[in-house]
Amino acid sequence: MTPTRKLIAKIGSVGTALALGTAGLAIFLIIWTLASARLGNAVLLPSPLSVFETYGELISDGSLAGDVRASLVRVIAGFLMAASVAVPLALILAYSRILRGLVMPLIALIRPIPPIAWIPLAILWMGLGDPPSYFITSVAAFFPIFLNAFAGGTSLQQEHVNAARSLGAGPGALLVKVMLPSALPMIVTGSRIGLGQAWMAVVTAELIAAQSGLGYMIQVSRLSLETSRVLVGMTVIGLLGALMIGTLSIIERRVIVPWNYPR
Amino acid sequence: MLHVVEGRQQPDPTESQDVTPRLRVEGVTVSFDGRQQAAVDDVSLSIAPGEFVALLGPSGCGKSTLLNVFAGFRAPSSGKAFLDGQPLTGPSAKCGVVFQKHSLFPWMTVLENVAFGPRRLGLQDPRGIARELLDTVGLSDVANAWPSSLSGGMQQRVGIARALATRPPVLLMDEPFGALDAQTRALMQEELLSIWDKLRPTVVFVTHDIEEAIFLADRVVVMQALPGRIAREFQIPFDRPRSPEVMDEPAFIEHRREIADIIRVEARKSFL
Amino acid sequence: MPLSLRGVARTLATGLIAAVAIHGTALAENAKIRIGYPSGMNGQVPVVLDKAGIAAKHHLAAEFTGFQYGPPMMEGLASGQLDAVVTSFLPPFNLSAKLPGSVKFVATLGQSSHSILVPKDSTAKSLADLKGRKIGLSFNSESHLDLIVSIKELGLDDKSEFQLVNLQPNELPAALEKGLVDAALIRQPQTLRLVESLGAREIQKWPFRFTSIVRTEYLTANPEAVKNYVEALKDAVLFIATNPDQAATWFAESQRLDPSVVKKLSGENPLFAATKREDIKIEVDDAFKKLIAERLEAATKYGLIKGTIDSSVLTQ
Repeated sequence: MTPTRKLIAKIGSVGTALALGTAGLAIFLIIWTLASARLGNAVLLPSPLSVFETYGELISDGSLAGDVRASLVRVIAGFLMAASVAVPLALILAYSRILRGLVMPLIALIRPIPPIAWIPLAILWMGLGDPPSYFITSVAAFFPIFLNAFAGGTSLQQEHVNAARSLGAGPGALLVKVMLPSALPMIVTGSRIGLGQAWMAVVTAELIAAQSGLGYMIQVSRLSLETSRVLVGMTVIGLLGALMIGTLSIIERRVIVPWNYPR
Repeated sequence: MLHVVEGRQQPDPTESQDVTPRLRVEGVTVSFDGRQQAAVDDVSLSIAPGEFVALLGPSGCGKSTLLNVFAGFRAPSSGKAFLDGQPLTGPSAKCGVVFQKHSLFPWMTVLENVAFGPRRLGLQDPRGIARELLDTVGLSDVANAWPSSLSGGMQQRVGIARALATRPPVLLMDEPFGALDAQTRALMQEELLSIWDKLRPTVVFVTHDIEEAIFLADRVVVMQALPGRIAREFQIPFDRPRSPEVMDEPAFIEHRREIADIIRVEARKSFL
Repeated sequence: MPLSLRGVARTLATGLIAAVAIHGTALAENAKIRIGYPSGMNGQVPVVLDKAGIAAKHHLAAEFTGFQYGPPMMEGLASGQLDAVVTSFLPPFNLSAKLPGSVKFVATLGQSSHSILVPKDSTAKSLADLKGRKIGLSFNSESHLDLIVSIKELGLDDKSEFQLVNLQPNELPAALEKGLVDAALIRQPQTLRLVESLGAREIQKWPFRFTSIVRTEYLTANPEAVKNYVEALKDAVLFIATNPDQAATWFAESQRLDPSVVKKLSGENPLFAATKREDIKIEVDDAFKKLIAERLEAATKYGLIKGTIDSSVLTQ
C-alpha cells in the first residue's frame, strides 16, 4: 500500500472508532436525560445538563482544579513513597533467603488489610488533614509494587548473571546493568497497578479523613444533597484515573521497557 | 595421509608440555543434592592453549556441568580446576561463554549486548569494537534491534560476537547450535571455524552431535553418563581449514562409527 | 330462657368472630409509617414512641430507623425510604432547596442544646479566640448554621479565618479527646459527658430546637396517618414527662449512655415539664412558623442553602 493509502486507512479506522464511541456516548446521554426527566427528582438522578452546568460552575470558581490538584498530589506522593520503599525491599528479599524468611510472612499477613481499614490508625497517629491520606495511598500502592518487584527480582535468570560475570561484570555492574533491568518490566507492571490502587484509595481516604480533594468534595456534596456535584466528582475521578494509567502505559512502552514492546 | 590415533582411557595429567595448559581439571567431582550419582565423577582433563576440544556425549554425561566448572559458574564438590595454572575461583573475563539459549540481555540492543564486555573491561571505543564484531558475523544491519526480534540463528551469532568482543583467550560453548535447524547449524559451524581461524582462542565445545564434534575439533572427548566420566578421547587429524567435504571422507566416517558405538553402549547403560 | 349448650356455643362463636373481625379490620387500618430518628436528644421521643407501643395505639404500623444526624435522614426522605423524620431546621431546608415542596413541618418537639467545647487546657475563651484554629463539626447539621451565623456576626469569614473540619457526630468526641481539633461543636448528650469526664469547657452554647417533618407525598396520601402521628408524638411527650426514669432508661439503652445523664438532659427540655396532655403543644402554630422563617432567612443569608424557598411551602 502506498503511504497515502496507509494514512487514509489509519484515519478511517481511527475515525470509525471515534464515531462509534461518540454514538455510544450520545445514546447513553439520551437515555440518562429521559430517565432523569421521568424520575423528576434532582437528588436521586440529576439530568446530564445539570451535571454539565455544575461542571461549569466548579471549573469557573476554581474549586474543581483545587480538589483535583489535592487528590493528585496525594496519589503521586503516596505512590512515590511506596515505590521508594517497595522496590528496594522487594529486590533485597528476592536475593536474600534469610531476609525473605523473616519478612515475607509479615507481608502476607498485612497485605489483605484494605487501605480503608487503616484509616482509624492513620488518623490516630497522624491527626486530621493531609498526612493520613498520604499514608493510605502509600499503603494502597505498596503491595502491588512490592509483589511485582519481588517477582521481577526472582525472575532473574542465572544465565544472565553468568553471562555478565563471564563478560567481566563486577557486583556494581551486575546490580545496575543486569538485575535491575531484568526486574524492570515487572516493577513497571506493579507500578501501574499500584498507581490505580492508590487512586482508588485516595478517594476512599478523602471521604473520611481529608478536608480537600475529590473524595472530600463528593462527601460534602452528599451532605448537602448536591447530587450533581457528586456526579461531577465521580466522573472526574474516572477520567483522571484512566488518564494516569494510560499515560503510564505509554511511558512504559516507549521509555521504560521498550524491549518488551518492539514496533 | 589421514590417520586415526586411538585416545587413551584417561589422559596422563603429568604429561608435560612446554606451555602451561590453558584449562585443567584434576580429579573433579560435581554432585548435586538429591541425586545419587555424581554429574561429573573424578574427571581429569587438560586443554592446551589454542586447542579446539569437543566434549561429546549423551544427555546426563556431565559435559555441560564440566563446562560450567571451566567457566567458574560451578565449584566442584571435590578436586581442583585451573585457568592458566591459577586456581579457578569464579567466572573470569578470560573465558568467553556462549550459551545454548543465547542468553542475550533482552533489555539491551544487539550492539549494546556486544559492547557490554568491552565496556566492563574499560576498553577504548566499546561500540566500535562491537560494530566490528557484528560485521564479522554479518549482522551489522541489526545492530540497533532488540534481541527478541531476531531469529534463532541470528541470536546465536550475536551471542558468539558478544563472547568474542573481549578477545578472550578461551571460548566455552555449550551446545550453541543445538536449537538451530540443520541448514543454519551447518552454516554456523563453518562461520565458527572461520572466526576461530582468525582469532585462535582455546575452545571447549559441548555437543551431542558426533559429526559436529569431529568436524570442528582437534580433540574429541567422549563422555559417559551415570556417573559422568571420560570414556575415550580421540585426536582428530584433519588439516585446517576444514571444509564440509571432509565429512564424506572415509576416515571421518570411520571416526563417526567408532564414536557412535561407544556412545550407544553408554547410552544404553543410562537408558536401562 | 333456659341456657342451652348450643345457644351458648353459638353466642360465643359469634362473639369471637365479631371480635376477630373488628380487630382484623382495626389491624388492616393501621397505616404504615417509616420513621427516622437521630442520636441527639431529639431521638428520645421516637424511641419512646417505639418502646412504649404508642404508635400502635394510634393505628400506626411504625418502623423506626436510627441515624447519626440529619443529612442521611434527608437522603432517606429524598429517595422515598422514610416517611417521617425527627430533626431540626437546617436539614429540611436543604432538602426543600433541592426538592421544593417535598417535606412539611408537622410538629415541634422542644429543645436541647449544642456547644463549642475546648479541651481543659485550652486558652480559648470565646469563638474569636479560635481564629485560625481547627474546629470540628458536622457539616450541614443544625449546629453548622449556628456556628456560621456566630462567625459572621463577629465580622469574620468562616472559610479563610477558621479551619472548619467536617466530622461525623460520633467522631467528634474522639477528635476532641485526641487533640485532632482545637475545638468541637458537639450536641447533647455528648456535651455533658465530655464536660464531666474530660473536663472540657463550653465556650459558647446555642439552643438546639427539635422538629418533625413528613414527606409531602406521604402526607397527601395519608392525611389521617399524619394526624395520628402527631397525636402519637404528643402521647410520647406525655409519657416522658410522667415517666422520666423509664423514658431515660430506654433512650440510654439505645445510645449506650448513662440513664442519669439522659434524665438530667431531658429535664432541660421545657416540653417535658408538662403535667397534663392538654398542656402539651407541639402542633405547628404561628410562633413556630415565625421561627421557621427566621431560621430560613439566616440559612439563606449565610449561604448554607442555595436558592430561595418560600417558607409557607414548608408547612400545611
